[in-house]
Amino acid sequence: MAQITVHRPDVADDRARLTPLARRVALTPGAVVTIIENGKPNARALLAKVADGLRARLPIVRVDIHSKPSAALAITADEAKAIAARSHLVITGVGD
Amino acid sequence: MTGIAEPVRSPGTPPAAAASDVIVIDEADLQERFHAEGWSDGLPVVAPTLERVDAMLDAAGLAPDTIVGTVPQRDRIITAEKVAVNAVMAGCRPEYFPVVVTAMGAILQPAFNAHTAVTSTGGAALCVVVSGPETERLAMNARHNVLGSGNRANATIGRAVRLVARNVLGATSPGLDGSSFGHPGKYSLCIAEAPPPAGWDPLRVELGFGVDDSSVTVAPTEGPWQIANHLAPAARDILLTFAAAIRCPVTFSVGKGGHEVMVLFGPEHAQAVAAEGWSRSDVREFLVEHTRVTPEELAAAGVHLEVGAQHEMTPDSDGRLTTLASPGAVYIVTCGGAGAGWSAYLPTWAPSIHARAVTLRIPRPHEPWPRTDADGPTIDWSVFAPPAPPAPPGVPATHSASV
Repeated sequence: MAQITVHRPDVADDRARLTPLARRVALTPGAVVTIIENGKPNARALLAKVADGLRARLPIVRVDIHSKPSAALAITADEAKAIAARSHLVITGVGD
Repeated sequence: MTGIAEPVRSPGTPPAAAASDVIVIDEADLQERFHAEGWSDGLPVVAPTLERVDAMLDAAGLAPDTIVGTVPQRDRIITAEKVAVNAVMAGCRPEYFPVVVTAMGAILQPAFNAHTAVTSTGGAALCVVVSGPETERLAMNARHNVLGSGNRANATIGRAVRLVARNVLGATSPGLDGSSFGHPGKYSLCIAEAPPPAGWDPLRVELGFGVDDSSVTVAPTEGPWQIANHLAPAARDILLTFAAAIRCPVTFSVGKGGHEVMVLFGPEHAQAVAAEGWSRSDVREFLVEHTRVTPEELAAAGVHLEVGAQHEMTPDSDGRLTTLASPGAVYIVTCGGAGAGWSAYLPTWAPSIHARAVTLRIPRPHEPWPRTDADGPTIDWSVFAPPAPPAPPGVPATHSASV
């Protein structure tokens, strides 16, 4: 049977590598947890309840919600830096 | 930008595929292997042999490692070689390749927002509209069955860009393509523009290019809607029918601050409207105004208004909501075959704050690809952009200058 050499159409060397989990640290009083809300209908209302739940379980932390103007657009690099600078934990990737 | 460079690859230069990007297989196993790997759209593919891929790159004068564009959110760099591999698989002839590369260059512009357009549950196709002399040189179809099957260039150019999305961007289901339904245009959706009636410029001229230029416009679209009006002789009545279709509340973006539409004018409708003296600009303005909807119209269709979310749905002072943000959001394409009086339209799948149509000029035969080498040998698409390229998502369309 004839053999042929062909290209792979995909990306064999996947540059998107797994990122190791961050080291776990105890949250200290005043720690900031930021939830990124994607702008979809009812997302803010739903995540506000999640924030309330976190505050009830972790009264020592402050919980902020950062709203995006469009679910389709990532936050900017400047926004990411600012959020990272003031937060101890960021919850993102909230979908439909 | 480093300015115009020589062609980045001379014809006959040996291919330089990385060893990890080639595989040796039994020819008889090709289809089953490619289907099993998830590399096909479900249809048979042409074997992307080194020689065929090399011929594709030679036809455009591109080196394999030339960067067509990137999708930073996915950490993806799309090279000319990967585009060529998928173009071969799609069945493209080498002479189609400059159009495929230009279409991919447009799709990878930030304004298009490819990361989301190939991911959203809305299931957008990568709609490609080609305008200009290249459509004749490549024997593309602009007439009967323009949205259907039967023309090799239309079918394979559209299929090639979708295969790149699948294989390089990971737009598969299951996978990163979250389309709840999708539509048949996700196999291929590429059309050619037919010459417009007297008094109207073709799309590429309206966008700021020369009549002898060719252009590619890409838009992330829902499936096409056919528009029937077989009896009305008056332009206004024909355009009211168009507006009625575009403002239909079942379309996701209606009333949500403005999206873009590809309006495909069939021969009878284009002739009737142009003959009455309506310019393309007149048509665009009419459609913007007559596609505005009231909250009551949406409510009658069971559609609720978004409050405090990403889409602005507060009625304007006239009590209506915007469907098309500006005349610049209306892309008029003359095409289709003569008959009873048919046209069609394709809405972009989401409001313009999320993604925009993008147009680029196709390089003329033997025209070098300018490069910018800041991050590797990257095609400098700014040279092929219209005078006023579309603003990034998040900025409303302004007027025809940005069409």
